[in-house]
Amino acid sequence: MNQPKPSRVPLKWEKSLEDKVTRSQFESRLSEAFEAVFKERWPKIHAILIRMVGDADEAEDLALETFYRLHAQFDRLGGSDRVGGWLYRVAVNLGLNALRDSRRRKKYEEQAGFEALRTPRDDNPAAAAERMEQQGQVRLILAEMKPGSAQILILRSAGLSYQELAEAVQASARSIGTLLNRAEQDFEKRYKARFGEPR
Amino acid sequence: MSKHLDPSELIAYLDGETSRVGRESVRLHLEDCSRCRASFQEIYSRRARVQTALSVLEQPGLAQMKPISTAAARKRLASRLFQPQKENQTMLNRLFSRRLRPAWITLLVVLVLGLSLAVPQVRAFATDLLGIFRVEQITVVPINPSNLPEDLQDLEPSIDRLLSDNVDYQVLGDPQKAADAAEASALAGFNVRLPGGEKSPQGIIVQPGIAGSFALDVGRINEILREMDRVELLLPASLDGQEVTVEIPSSVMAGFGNCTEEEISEDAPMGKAAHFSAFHGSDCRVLIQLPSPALNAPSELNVTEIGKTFLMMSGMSEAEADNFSRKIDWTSTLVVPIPMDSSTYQDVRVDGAAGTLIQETSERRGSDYILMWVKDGSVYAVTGSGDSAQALELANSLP
Repeated sequence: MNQPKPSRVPLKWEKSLEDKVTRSQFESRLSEAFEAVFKERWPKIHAILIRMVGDADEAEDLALETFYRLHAQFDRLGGSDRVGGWLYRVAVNLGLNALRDSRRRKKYEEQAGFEALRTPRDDNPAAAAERMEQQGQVRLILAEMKPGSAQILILRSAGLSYQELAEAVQASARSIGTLLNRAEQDFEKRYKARFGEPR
Repeated sequence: MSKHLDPSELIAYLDGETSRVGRESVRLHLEDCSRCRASFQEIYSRRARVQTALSVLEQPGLAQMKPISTAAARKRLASRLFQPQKENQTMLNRLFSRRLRPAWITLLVVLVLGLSLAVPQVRAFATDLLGIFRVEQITVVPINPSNLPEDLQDLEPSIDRLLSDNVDYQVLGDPQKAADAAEASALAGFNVRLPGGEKSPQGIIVQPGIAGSFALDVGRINEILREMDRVELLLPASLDGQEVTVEIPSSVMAGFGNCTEEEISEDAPMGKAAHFSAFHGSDCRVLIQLPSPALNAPSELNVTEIGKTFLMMSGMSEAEADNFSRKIDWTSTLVVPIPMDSSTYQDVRVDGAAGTLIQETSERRGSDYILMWVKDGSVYAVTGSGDSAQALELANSLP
């Protein structure tokens, strides 16, 4: 048999030194324009994703993925006018993607049924259970809708203007009213079909 | 009385997204027109109901979730972008990473679409028309991840959903250890080739095979195609429910050098978890071998056209894609997309066959490589990092 080659394991201080060096190297590598966009947009993108998936860590991961992709496309996107719409679109798509994950849908199905899991810190367990049930229902409907419709509903309820919506869904500002109306009808129809009249 | 107001005008009015003049004229119209008042009322109350439903997503306990600060998030992004990847992220894993997933998904979808396409619409579809695809060679397609069409990203949710609902696969068993080539051959069911004597591997794992199938859901596939604006590819309804099946036989992994063994149970490409074992380490070379996977699909397909679509969707121009696609025998070639911004590849002669050596060039990943070749109906790969000459040496030492 081959004698395993003794490979030297780096000492702890060497490793931490290495980390520091790499860190200071990459700290400066983000362009100023990208930094500015990140600072301006992160909180909102993260908040939208938290609402969508209901978990801060998962939302963070999806938001990071969004900006990771933005970094790759940043030059191609050119002017920052287009960046906003692009970010909203990609973030919501990743969020919807997560909602549609089959394992997760099963979880929402369960939540939307009766078996809500509760955390002990809830002061009012009954209300928390009901809330969770309703959240499960809404996420299930969003996951089932046409992506474009779900997108516009989520972004409108996040407070985007028609102009911003138009950039995000790549439609003309004039068509937003129609799209929004259609999305709301679709949402309600599916909701009623599955869960009856909303409470 | 002017004509009635369109719902889109009413909803924009409700949202305060009408110009001042427009606003006034809508208001005046509503005063006079009971029919429009009724539809406004309907839109108004539907909006209220939808908003109430969506408002449950607001997290009352958001503060308790402690969302990460912008500065901390920026740091994490920077390290994700620029820090070296964890060691156990082998190059093979990265080929299936999220970043390249759209390319793989496209390949799959395009294949499946195209497979069904070529069958004449009039003819009844019969399973005995199946053609069997086997890998006889490997070709690398350099792609530019940032060139992937944007609308593909938009469609990712629909495509993922299509795949997760219609792709079914089973992992046939658990990973098993083997002491030598003979035992590995017995467990894996094919003739495993490993160097002997001093050059024997440090460890051998036999990985379970995978059987998968994709049921064609013509309605949903066509919906996606329409959204992609590729109506010329629309499928005939007669294909609905037909299946494409894939068989990946058991494979054998052997670790050379200084390897650590680890159980991986991460998300497989289709989003289902799978359990495999793997070797990793900075001075570890892994030899993987398996009989060619087989794809069973309707014959008589226009594979060149499908291939061309795939290449165009991976960021090639039409002319390039056309040219490339004609040169490839799509029925026997495993096409591996590699990111051209961080990898290079070259043709090499190895183990008495034609091989491809892909090397990472990005500074953070340094020198990881993967060497692939096909010989006598089996697919081989050696992965590792550092001097790729070691991979060639290992490959050439096979009996």
